[in-house]
Amino acid sequence: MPLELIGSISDGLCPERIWHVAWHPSGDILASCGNDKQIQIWAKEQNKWVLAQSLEGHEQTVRRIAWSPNGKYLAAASFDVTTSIWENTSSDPQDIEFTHVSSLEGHNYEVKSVAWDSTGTLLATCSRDKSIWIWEMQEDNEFECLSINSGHSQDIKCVAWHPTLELLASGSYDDTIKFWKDIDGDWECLYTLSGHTSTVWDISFNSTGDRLVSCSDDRSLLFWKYFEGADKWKNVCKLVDHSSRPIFSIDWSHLNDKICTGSGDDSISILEQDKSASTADSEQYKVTIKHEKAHNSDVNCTRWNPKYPNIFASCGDDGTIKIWKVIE
Amino acid sequence: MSGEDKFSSILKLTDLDYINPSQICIKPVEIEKTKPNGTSKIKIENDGSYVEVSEDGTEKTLEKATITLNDCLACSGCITSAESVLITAQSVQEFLTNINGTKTIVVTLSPQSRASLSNHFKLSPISVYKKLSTFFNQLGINYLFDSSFSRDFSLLESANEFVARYKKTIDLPLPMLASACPGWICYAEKTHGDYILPYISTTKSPQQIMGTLVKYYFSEKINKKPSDIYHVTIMPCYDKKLEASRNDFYSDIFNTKDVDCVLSTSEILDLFKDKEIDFNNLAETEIRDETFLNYDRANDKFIGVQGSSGGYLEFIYKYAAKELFNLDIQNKDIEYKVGRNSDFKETSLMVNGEKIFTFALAYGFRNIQNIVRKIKISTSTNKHCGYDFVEVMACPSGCINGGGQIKSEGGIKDNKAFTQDSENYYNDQLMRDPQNNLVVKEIYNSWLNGYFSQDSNTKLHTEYHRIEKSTNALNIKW
Ligand code: SF4
Repeated sequence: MPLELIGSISDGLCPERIWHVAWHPSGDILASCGNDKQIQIWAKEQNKWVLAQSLEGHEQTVRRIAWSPNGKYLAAASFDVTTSIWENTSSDPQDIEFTHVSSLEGHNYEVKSVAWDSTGTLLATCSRDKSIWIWEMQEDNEFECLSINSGHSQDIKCVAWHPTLELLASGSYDDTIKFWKDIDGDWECLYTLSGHTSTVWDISFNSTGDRLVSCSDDRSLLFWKYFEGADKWKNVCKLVDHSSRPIFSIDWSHLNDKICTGSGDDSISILEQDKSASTADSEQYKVTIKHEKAHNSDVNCTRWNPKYPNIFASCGDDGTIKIWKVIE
Repeated sequence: MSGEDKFSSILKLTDLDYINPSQICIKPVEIEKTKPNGTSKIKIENDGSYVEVSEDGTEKTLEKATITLNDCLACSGCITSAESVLITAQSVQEFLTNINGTKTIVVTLSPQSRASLSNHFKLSPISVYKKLSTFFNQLGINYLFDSSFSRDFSLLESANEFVARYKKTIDLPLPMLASACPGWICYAEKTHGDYILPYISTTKSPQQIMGTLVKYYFSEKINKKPSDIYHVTIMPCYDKKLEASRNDFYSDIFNTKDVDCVLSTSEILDLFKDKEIDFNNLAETEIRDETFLNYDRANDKFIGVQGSSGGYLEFIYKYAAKELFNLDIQNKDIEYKVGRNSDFKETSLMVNGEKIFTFALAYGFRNIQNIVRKIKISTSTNKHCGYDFVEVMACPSGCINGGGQIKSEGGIKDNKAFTQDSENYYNDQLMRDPQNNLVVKEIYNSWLNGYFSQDSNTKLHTEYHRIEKSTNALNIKW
């Protein structure tokens, strides 16, 4: 199975380093952010990706971005300690016309990641200040802070919501993954998963939310499965030395269960579960594609298109965004 | 024992926190690459050395710039020695050393600490006080005061300040935000600067008013210089230590702090253990002089106000209703609407179906966030933020649940019930509004020239200062 490059964005339009890409739920719009402090919205015209809008306002690097499930809002986490919220105010939903509607302040240091829950009402942000903030969106585009969770002992790199439940997972420089849930008005840490020996850079739930995969600076991938009876998340598969360098990004496709990773060794990999070799307590995942030199430098982010199967986007320190197709 | 968890969580989340320096140090280390424009990478080995990997895969160990103490002090990335120095300056050790000197020792006990000790030993607040007197007498300490007494001043000044803000006789905006919690003040100064500071009541906290009274009023009564008195307070949190060490509460003229040392409730417990004190079986020393105590001799009970975080909301509400609209309000008339969590409540004064003012209680970091956010938005849009006074406290459940209080032995789940018990012990006292405190009245007449007067403004009010936050742009891969 090879990987085919079907699109590429660079041409000096991008900053030197692109941190993150995020697909609009329609699958036809892509947003990116990087160290130029801006957010770029790309739209596909004929067979080319063109810049539809550039969102400016952050004073420092924009580290990650996230679309609300209905695609109307975009949230951006920045090193300037704020999270900005943008709304598509165009009357035609096909058009792109984003306006800044809110700025969430409160983190004391760089905001590292942001994520909307499946209903689009809750927003989670995490920061180097070791806290996770949960915000609720109100009717007038106003946000109320519901909770400030501390528990991680170090910088928190990523947050991800469960695909259906009000359950949040976070990955940190303290090498752990934690799960958070609202218990009688207070968000509490339910589980702490230890297994990685270095920074957890990215985490992703599968479509049903009973598995989570994590990638780390320790160059390994860990697969976690939820056991309902025991009410525990257990490690069911460990791929050590998945890469020769830290693995920065991982994404579990909700369309066909494929997993893509992006690494500091400039490569991109695709993995799939080997069902025949998996048991209830131990699962096998195998690399079906390893594409070396996918970028000229670190691959910072890989994300599956939410609408069209087998398509994903990647970005990296080389200042390019690439769109790939897995040929089956 | 480390003091880390004795601070309010608000301070733990700001950079007053003790981030362990080494591992998380974010000071961008300058590393000289050998190939200036090459696509070589730098990796950090397990031993911390930097290795340059060039395209062809050859590795070369690089010179590493070391981080000096100066770098640390100039960087707000992690807090270094400053706060730990401060904590050692206000430790049980320090206290024991000082009480053996020549100074007159005054100890001020907060009613929240008293309640926490009551709960721990299952003794009435009055017994706790009397046994504590015995204990301190044995250490040679003769004055054990009660910060409910100085809180009466704080309440009266706050209420009059509110009325002045409301009538616009002073140039300070509404909503007025309570100032008794140093965790909140510290956070506001560090994080919100000029936006928020004008809203914070200038009235000193009960601890600091007691400091002023002890060093400048009481000292004269006993013919001492302010610097001849060593004043110790027993408080529900470590944040109070930071408050006591503020420059605003230090006199250059007399070369003395208003409060010299703050001990937390749990440190007092440690002290008992250290001295092998069987507290329950200590004799009780009868109260001879109730001047700096809110004590009712006839009933042998303490007197205070409703609300274990100081009762600011209720008192100011009643006082303002009376002063501004000549309405007599009782505590029971104040009906609260509870917010999303029990640490947020609000109540409005209605006159003829019209809302006159709205007061809120916002305890804990998240509720503080929402208040700050509302104020910021209302300032930028020039609208009323919906509140006229907010009793802001950093700790969820307020001071009774302060970080320096005695914790239940049963862990977090148990702690809620334990805190409730402490609250009940706190309420084991007579309630009285501060205007009816005759001693306070006398001092207002003879020493302060009335409520919110020029004298009271000099003696019982303070200032806040914006703290510049150094931004350290991160260019490293995180
Ligand atoms: S709420 Fe009370 S106990 Fe908590 S930090 Fe503030 S003053 Fe201290």
